[in-house]
Amino acid sequence: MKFAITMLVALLMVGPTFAQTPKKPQQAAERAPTNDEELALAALEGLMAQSPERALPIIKKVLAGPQSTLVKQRALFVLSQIDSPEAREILLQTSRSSDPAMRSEAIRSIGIGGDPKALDALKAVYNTGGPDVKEEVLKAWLIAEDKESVYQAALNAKTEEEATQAIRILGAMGATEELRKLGDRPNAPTGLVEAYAISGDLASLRKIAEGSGDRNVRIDAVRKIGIIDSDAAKAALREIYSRSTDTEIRDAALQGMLIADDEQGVLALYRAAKTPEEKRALLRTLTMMDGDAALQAIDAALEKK
Amino acid sequence: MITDDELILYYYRDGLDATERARIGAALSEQPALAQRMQALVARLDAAAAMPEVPVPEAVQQRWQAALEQAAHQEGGREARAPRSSRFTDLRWMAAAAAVAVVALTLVIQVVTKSPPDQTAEVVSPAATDSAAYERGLKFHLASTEQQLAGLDSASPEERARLIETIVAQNRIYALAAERAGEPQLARVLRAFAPVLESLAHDDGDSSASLAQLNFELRVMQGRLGSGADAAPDTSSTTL
Repeated sequence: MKFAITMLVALLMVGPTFAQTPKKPQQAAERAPTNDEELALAALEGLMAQSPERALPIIKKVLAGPQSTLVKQRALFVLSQIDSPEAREILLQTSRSSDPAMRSEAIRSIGIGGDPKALDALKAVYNTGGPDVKEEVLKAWLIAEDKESVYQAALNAKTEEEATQAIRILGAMGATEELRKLGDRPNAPTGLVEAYAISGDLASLRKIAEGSGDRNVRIDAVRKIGIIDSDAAKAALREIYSRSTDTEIRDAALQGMLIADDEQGVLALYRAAKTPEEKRALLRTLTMMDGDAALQAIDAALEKK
Repeated sequence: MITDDELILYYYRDGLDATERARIGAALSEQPALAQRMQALVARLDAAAAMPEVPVPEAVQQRWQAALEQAAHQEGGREARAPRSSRFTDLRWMAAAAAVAVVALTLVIQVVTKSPPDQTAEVVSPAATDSAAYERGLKFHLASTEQQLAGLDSASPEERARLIETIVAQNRIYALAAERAGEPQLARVLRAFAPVLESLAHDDGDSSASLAQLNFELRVMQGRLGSGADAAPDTSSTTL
């Protein structure tokens, strides 16, 4: 055992003798490791077989030593797997580093670690960081499923772009409740429609689509119902199409059915269509779907059924 | 007569020789019903990966397993008769790994989501059994993902896109399963893999950096699971 640890330390400490220094350290993660770095990485992998008490001092030496940024970034990932206050403190300190590559990996590793205090401390990093840092912190909260922090970021956003970015992450997290709270606020930020669609919140999209708000937003909401992959969403689009007398809303519903690939729905509408114009529009949509239903409709049209 | 197994192997561009591929290809172009059958089979496989709440029927699982065993036997026989190119072997492994991963994944999901068994009949606690089953499944997933990533370089663009899509879907489901198995730490790591995996799908240029990062992290996680199982078999958490 002692020999194994000695070997690991030796492999991880000899970085400068043969590790190549990258020309742009901040882009270390954007290249594959060199052969020498591969050796150091194999040693880091070996640390997983050691106890945290033994692994932590070695990782600290790597981070403080002459290894390349790429090796140090990987060491941060290993650090995220160690459940100790000291490991979390190192990650937090590195998340405030001026080295973008190390900072980025530390922020990601805090997300992977999932420690509530460290995640909370990322709020300060978010507030003082630029757009790239903000995005990295949002992704860390996404990894940690910290919906409340992302919600607060959306709520306190200083620009429309910031709000949209946070809302998009909430959508990816399926944070229906938080998105609805944002939607209920006066002057609801843009980007909500897409986030509702991505999070699968059909009820909120229908509320917008069938409400009395901005017409363009309503049309967009109808179209984006098609993103939700469910029978209920398909049924909603058919219903909106059948009920509405607004041409643009009907077109948006048809586009939504195209996105949802609901050829049976479009075929049913085609069969029920009363006017040649409507039949033509529906047939064109079916043709774009390129399925069996299109063939049936084409056959029926040519046979004048 | 073209069997379902042959259609699946044709779709994954593997396990069939040139003559067999040509025969099935010609049949598919002449028979829309056959093409439809193949799409339905593929959709069923995709659905198994995308919908953990719907268990794959026992009969389908048995058929996959039988197909894999049969393919393995045929492979053994063919290897004895003639040498094969390494690319073909890689692709065959990738397809088999993807298929087996779907089966393993389904079994894991079933174990994680099943109702607690009869307490009176248990010697080992259900939580420990589920956790162990989950970890075995996850180890397989990590090893399978590493193996599939290794074959990406030799895959055609279509195969590559399909494999990445499969890996991303499997990864997402394992993250969900990790949450359900009470392993949030593992779930977070798997969620952290997602953007890197997705970057592989969108990376038009050199993806060697992303691949190297993923391989490293996959190996670290395998090491962690291995040491956790050896060092503390009685604990449900694998945190270091």
